[in-house]
Amino acid sequence: MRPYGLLPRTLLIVVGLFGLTILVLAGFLTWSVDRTMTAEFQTQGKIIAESTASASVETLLNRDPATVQAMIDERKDGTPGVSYILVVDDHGEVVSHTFAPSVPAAVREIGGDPHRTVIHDVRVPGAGECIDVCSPILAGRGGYVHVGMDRAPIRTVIWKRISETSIIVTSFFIIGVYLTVTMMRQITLPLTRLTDSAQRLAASDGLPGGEAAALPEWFPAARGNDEVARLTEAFRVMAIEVTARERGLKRQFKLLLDSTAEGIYGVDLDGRCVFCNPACARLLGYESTAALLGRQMHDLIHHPRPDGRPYPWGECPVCLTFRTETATHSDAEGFWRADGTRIPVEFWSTPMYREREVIGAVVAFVEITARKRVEAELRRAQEDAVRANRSKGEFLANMSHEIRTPMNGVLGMTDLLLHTPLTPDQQEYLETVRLSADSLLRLLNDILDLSKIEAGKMELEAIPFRLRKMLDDAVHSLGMWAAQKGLELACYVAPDVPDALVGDPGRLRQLVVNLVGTAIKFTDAGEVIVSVNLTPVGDPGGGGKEPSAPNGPPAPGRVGLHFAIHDTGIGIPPDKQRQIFNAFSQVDSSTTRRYGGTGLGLTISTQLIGLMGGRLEVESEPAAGSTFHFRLTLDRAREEDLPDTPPRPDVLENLPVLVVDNNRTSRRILEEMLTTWRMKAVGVDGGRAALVELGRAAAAGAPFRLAVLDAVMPDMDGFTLARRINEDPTLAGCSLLMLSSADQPLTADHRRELGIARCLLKPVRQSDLLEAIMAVVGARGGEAPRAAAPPPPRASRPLRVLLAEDGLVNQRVAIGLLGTQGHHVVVANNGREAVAAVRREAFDVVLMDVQMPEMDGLEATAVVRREEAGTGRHVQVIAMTAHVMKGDRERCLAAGMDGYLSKPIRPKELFAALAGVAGDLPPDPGPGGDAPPGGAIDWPRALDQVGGDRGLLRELTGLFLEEYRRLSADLRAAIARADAAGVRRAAHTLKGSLDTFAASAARAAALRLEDMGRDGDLAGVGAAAATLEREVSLLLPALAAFGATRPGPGDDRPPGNQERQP
Amino acid sequence: MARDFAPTRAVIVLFGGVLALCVLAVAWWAVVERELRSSDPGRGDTPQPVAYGPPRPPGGPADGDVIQVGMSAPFEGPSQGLGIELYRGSMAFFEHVNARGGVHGRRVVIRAYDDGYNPAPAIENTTRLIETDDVFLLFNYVGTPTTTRCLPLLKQYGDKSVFLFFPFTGAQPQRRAPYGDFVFNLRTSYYEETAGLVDHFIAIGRRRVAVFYQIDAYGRNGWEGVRVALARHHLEMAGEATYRRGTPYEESLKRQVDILRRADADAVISIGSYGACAAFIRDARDAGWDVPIANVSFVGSENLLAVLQAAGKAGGTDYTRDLINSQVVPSYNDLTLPAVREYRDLMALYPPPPPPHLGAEEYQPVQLSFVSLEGFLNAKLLVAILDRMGPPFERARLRPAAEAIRDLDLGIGVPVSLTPARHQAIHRVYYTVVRDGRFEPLDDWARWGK
Repeated sequence: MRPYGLLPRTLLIVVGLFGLTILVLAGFLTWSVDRTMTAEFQTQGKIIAESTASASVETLLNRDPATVQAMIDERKDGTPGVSYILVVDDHGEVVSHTFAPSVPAAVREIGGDPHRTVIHDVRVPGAGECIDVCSPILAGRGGYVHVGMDRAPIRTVIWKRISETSIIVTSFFIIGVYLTVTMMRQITLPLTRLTDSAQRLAASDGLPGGEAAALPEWFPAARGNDEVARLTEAFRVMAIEVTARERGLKRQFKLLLDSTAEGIYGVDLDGRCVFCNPACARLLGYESTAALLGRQMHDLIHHPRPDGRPYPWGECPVCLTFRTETATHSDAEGFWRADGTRIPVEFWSTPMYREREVIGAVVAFVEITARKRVEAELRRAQEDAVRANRSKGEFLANMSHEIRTPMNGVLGMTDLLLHTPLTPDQQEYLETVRLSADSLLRLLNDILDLSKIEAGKMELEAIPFRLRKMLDDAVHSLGMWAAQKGLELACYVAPDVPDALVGDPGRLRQLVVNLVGTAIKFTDAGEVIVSVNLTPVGDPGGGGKEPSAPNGPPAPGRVGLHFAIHDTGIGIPPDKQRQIFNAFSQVDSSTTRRYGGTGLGLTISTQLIGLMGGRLEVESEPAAGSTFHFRLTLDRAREEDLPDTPPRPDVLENLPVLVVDNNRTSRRILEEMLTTWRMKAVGVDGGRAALVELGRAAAAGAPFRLAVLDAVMPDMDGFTLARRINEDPTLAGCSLLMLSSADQPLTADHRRELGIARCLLKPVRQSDLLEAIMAVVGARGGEAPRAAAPPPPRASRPLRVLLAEDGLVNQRVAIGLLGTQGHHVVVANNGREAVAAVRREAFDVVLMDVQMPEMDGLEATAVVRREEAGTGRHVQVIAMTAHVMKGDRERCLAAGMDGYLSKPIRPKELFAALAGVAGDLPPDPGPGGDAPPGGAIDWPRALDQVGGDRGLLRELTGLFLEEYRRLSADLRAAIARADAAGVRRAAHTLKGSLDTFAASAARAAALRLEDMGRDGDLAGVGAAAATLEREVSLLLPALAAFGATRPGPGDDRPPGNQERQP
Repeated sequence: MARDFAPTRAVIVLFGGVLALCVLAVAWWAVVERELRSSDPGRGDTPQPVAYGPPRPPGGPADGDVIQVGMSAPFEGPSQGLGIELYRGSMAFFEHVNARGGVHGRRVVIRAYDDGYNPAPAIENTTRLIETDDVFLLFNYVGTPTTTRCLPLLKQYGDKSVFLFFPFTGAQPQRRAPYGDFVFNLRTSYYEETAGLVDHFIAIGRRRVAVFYQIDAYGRNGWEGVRVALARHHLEMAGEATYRRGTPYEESLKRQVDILRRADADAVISIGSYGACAAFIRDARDAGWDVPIANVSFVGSENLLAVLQAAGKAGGTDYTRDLINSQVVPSYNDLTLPAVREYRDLMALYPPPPPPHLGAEEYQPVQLSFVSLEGFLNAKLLVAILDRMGPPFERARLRPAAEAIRDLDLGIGVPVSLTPARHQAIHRVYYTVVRDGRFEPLDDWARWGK
C-alpha cells in the first residue's frame, strides 16, 4: 500500500507541474527581457554616444574639458541606466569622464572603430556589468566617446517581471488546487466513507439481528447516478449478502458447537477463554459457558499437575500450539473439574489464525475415563497372559530337562552295562530295562513334541537328504514288528520321484514311522504299503484320492510329493474319521483297550504335516482298511550338498573330537560311544576348558575336527561356547554338534548363525549320533579320505609276541599283521592261557585283549605282574580293547600294562607300539601283484590294514567266509527271537571282520545292526539285516575270487608259519 | 487505492494539466510582452522634480520700486555654506543701499532658490526665475556644474537679454564663447588660480604636482588649468584622483589618497568643495602624508577651516598644517582696504540672516568670510552698474552699462574694468595659510621648498 491517497497524489502532480511551469516561465522571461532590454540599452547608449560625439567636435577642438564634462554630466544625469561616459581624444588621452576615483583601465583599454559605433560588454569595478558603446568623434580624429550602460536595471526589471509572473501563476495554481481538491473530494469522500463502513462492518460483530436487508443507518446510501453511487449500491448489496451469509454460518457454527459431544473452547494468546461450547462447560462441571469465558483456562483446568507439581502455562501443549504453530495432541493428561476432581482427557489443540497471524488456539477434548480403565485392564490381562505363557514355557523346558537328564543316565548306563560281561539273565533283564526306558523316552518325546508344536516352537530343518534312504530306514525299522505280525510291509517310490530333496528328514521319518506304526498296530492281517508319487506343486492334497501321475516335468527346484500309507486293518468309521486327529483320542475306548497306545502319534503326524505345508487325510472303510495320505512340496537338493551315502565310517577313524559336557555321566557315555567308532575323543567339563583345549590342539597342529557340545552348562552354555568358537578364526574347521536335554529355543537360523551343524536331543541314540556325525563330517565335503598310509617299516628285530585274543578274526588279523614284520606270534585264547604262556616261555611283548572269557586282560596282567615281582623281569603288556573309555586306560595302566591299543587294531599303531618295545624292524617289501578285484571292497586299504601282506589277506578272506556263515546264522536267529543283545553281538563281530576288508558299505550295515541291537530298537532290524546280507553277498564273489587266487610273489609266508597254541 | 489507476488515464490527466498551464502561460506572456514593449524601461525610476523656491511673492516680477535679482545656489546640503555666505555678504550691502533709498529709488532684492549644487534644479530654478519671477537679472549663481548648465538657457532667452552677474565660479565656459557674452565675472578664473599655485610650487622645486578634483565641470576645469600650467613648464601631472560631487566629510577618501601617494606626488592641488576636501586632508594626514595641499577659492575656506578645526580638536591632530588656500578676494582681515572696513562695518550693522524661506535653520552663519566678502563685493559692483545705468531699468540696457565700467575703485586696492571684449573684472589671486586658527596671507613659500 502506498501511503498516499488519491487526493494527495493528484496534488503532488499539480504542485510538480506548477513548479515546472514557474521554472520554465522564469527562464523564458529572463531570456526575453534580457534580450529586449539589452537591445534597448544598446540603442540608447548608441544615441547618447553618437550625439555626444557629434556635439563634442567643437569643444574638443577647443580643448575645453569643462564644457565636455558639463555635456556628459548632463547626458549621464538625463538618462537613466547610463553608468559612465568617457571622452578620449585622438591620442587616447582622457578629455572628460565620470569615474571616481579614477578611470578604470578596463574601460580605457577598449578600442574603437573610427567608422562606426561598436558595442562591448565590460565589467567595470564599482559599476558592475556594463554595455560599452563606443562612437568615434570625427571619424576617430577627434577621439572617441564611450557610453557605459548599466545592466543592473535589466536585472531589476527581470526580477520584477518574474515576481509579477509568479504572483499570477500562483493565483492560477491556488484556484486550480482548490478546484482539484473540491472535485477529488467528491470522489474520495464517498470512497473513504465506504472504506470506513467496510472496516466498521468487519470489526462489528455482524449486523444486529433481524431483517437480513437492514443495514445500519451509518452505512452510506447511494446518492445520484454516477460511478461512485453505483459503487456504493454494489457495496451495499454485497454487505447485505455477506452479513446474511455470515449470520447463517454463525448459526451453523453455533449449532455445531452446541451439538457436539466433545468439549471445545478457544483461547487467546494469553490462554484466556474466548469461546466454549456447552459440552465443554458440562464436562468441566460448570453451570454455563459464561462461567468459563475470559478465564485463564490453563490455570483453571490444567494446573497443577496431578502430583501437585506446578504446571507452568509455557509447558502446556496448548501454549506450544501457538509457539510452534502446529497442532498438538495429547491423551495422557487430565483436566481439573469445577468440583476439584480430575478427569483424564484426550485433547487436540489447533492454532487459530487471523490474517496469517496466530491469535490463539482451539482446543477440543473428550473425557476418556472409561477408555483409560479398559486400557489398564487390557494391559493387566495381557501382562498376566504373557507371564503365564512364559512360566508355561519355562516349566516345559524345565520338565524336559529334568526328565531327560535321568533318562539319559538310565539309557546310557544301561547301554554301558550291556557291554560288560553279564550272565544271560542279567543281560535279558537289562535289555528289558532298556526297552522300557526306550518306550518311556518315546512317549516322552511324543508328549514334548506335541506341546512344542502347540506352543508353536517346533522348528523344521531344511537340510538335504535322500528320500529313498530315509523311507527305507523308516520302513525297515518297523520291518521286524510287521514280520512278527505276519504282515507284508512294502515301500514303493515311483521311479520319477527325485531322490535328493531338502527338508527335515528326521521329522519326515518320524511321520512315516508313526503312520506305518499305526497301520501295523491296527492291522491284523494283510499288508501295509507305503507309496510316494509325484503330484503337481502347490497342491496340498485336499482333493485327489489317487496320487495323480505327473503329466509334465516338475517345476524346477520344487517337487510335489504325495505320500500314502495304506493298510488292510480295522478301518475307521466315517463319523470317527475327524475325531482320530484330535489329540489323545482313538476311535473308541475299546480300541484303546485292545490296541493300547496313546493316540498321540496321529495327532503329532497331523501337526507335523500341517507345519510342512500339507494336510493329513484319511480314507477308510471299517473292516476294509484305511489309507492315510498327504501331499508335501519340497525343494530339490543339489547332489553335491548331500552327505556321502553310504557314509564311510572310516573317515571317522582317528577323528579328533572334543566332548563338552558338565555332566560326568553324559560325558562318559559320549566318550565311550565315540571311541567305539574309533574316533579320538577328548572330554572337558565346561566351555572355558573347551576353548583352552581347542586352542591348544590348534596350536599343536592337530585341531579338533568336531566338537560335541552340551547345550545346558553352568558358567558358559553351549550356545555361547559355539559363538566363541565360531568367532575364533584359528578354530575354523571345527564342526559343532549340539546336544540338548531340554527344548532350547533354537531356531534353524539361530543354529546356522552359531555355526552349529546339527542339534540332537538327549538322550541321544547311538545310531542318531553316528548318523549326525557322519552327516556333519561327510557334509564337510572337502574331507578327502586320507591317502593310503605308506607301508609300515619293518621292525628292526623280530619279536616274540604273545597274542591274547578270543576273537578268531582278530587273532588272524593280529597274526597276519605281526607276521608281516617277521615277529613270532604265540596265540592265547583267554587270560588263563596267556598267563600260562608267560609262565612257560619268555615274550618280548604281550598283546592283551581286555575283554576275554575265563580271565580278562586286566586280571591276567595282574597275575603276570604278580609273578614277575622280584624276578626282575618285565614283559611288555599292551592292552587291546574295543570300547575304551577314558577310565579304561587308567584301569589298564593301573593293572600293570605298559601300553594301550584300541580295537580294531590299526597296523600303524600296532607297529609303533611294538617299535617302542623292539626298535626298528626290517622293512616290508610292500604289496605286490595284481590289485584284488571287486568294487565293494577297498582292496588297497584292506591290504594296507594287513601291512600289505596279500597272503595274509587271502587267508583272512577264507577265515571270514567261514566265520560269516556262522555269524549270519546267529544274526538271523537273534532277529527271529527279537534278541537285541544277540543281534548286537553278532553284528559287532561281523563288523570287526568286515573292517579288515575295508568293506565300508557292509561294515556300515553291520554297524547299524550293532547299534540297533544296542539301542534295543529292532524296528528296522530285518531290513538292516537284509541290507547287510545284500552288501555281503556283493562282497562274497570278490572275496571268493581273491581267496582262490594263487599266492603271488609277495606271498612268501605259508600260513603254516603261525603256531597255534591249544 | 494504490495501483487501480489505469496508466492511460493518469497520462491523460497529466498531459491535460500541462497543456492547460502552457496555454495560460502563453496567453499571459503575450499580455505582459505588449506591456513591456510599450513601456519605457526607465519609467518610474526617474526622480520627480522637487519644487524649490519660496512661495510666490505678492507683487509682480517687475514691480515699479523693486529691482529683483534671481539667485540659484546651494542653501542645503554639503555645500550650503557657500550659497548662504555669498547671499549674506550681498544682502549686507543691498540692505545698506536699500536703507539709503535704493538705487534710483528702487530697492534691490534677491530672489533665491536652492539648487543643492545640482545642475537639474539649477536649470529648473533659472527657468522659473526668468519665466515666472521675471527677475531683472541673474546674480550670485554658485558652482561650476550648475552655472555651466544654465548658460544655454541664457542664450535661449537671448531675446529677453537675461544676464548673469558675478557667478561664484572660476570656470572657463562662462568666460568664453559661445556663452561669454551673457555673463559678467568679478572673480579671477580657476585657470589663473591654479596657474598661480603651480608656478609657486615649481618655484620652490615641487615639480610632481597632482590633482584631486570633483568629477564635474568645475573639477575638470581646475584639472585642465593645472594641466595647462604644467604644460607651460613642460611638465605633466604626477597623478589625479576624483570624487563625486556631494561627497560628505564623513565619507572616506583613502582610495584617492592612496592613488596620489602611489603616484609619488610632492604637492596636491584640490579642486573641490569644503566637505570632500576636508575629508581628503584628514585621510592624507591620518595616513602620514604631509605634502602641501592647496585648495582653490571655491572650496569655502572658513567652512573648511571650521570642519578641520572640529576634527582636529576631536582627534588631537592639526589638520591645518601644510594647507594653502588660494583666494580671489583679499583677506577680510586686511583692514588697510576700505572695502574690507566697509564690509566689516555693514556685516556688523546688518547681520543678514540666511534666506528665511529656505530651511537652513541649523546652519550657523560665519561672522566674516572670504565668501561673504565676495558676495559683498559682487553686490557693490552690481549696485555701481545699476546706479550708472539709471532708469529706465530695462534689461537690454544692462550690458552696455556694465561694459562701460572703467577703473572703478571698489576699495580693494585694484581698479575694476569691464569691457565688451572682457567680462572679467579682476585677475588678482591671494594665497593664504592658517595661522592661529584663521587665514593669514602667505608670504613664505620657501618653507615648503625642496
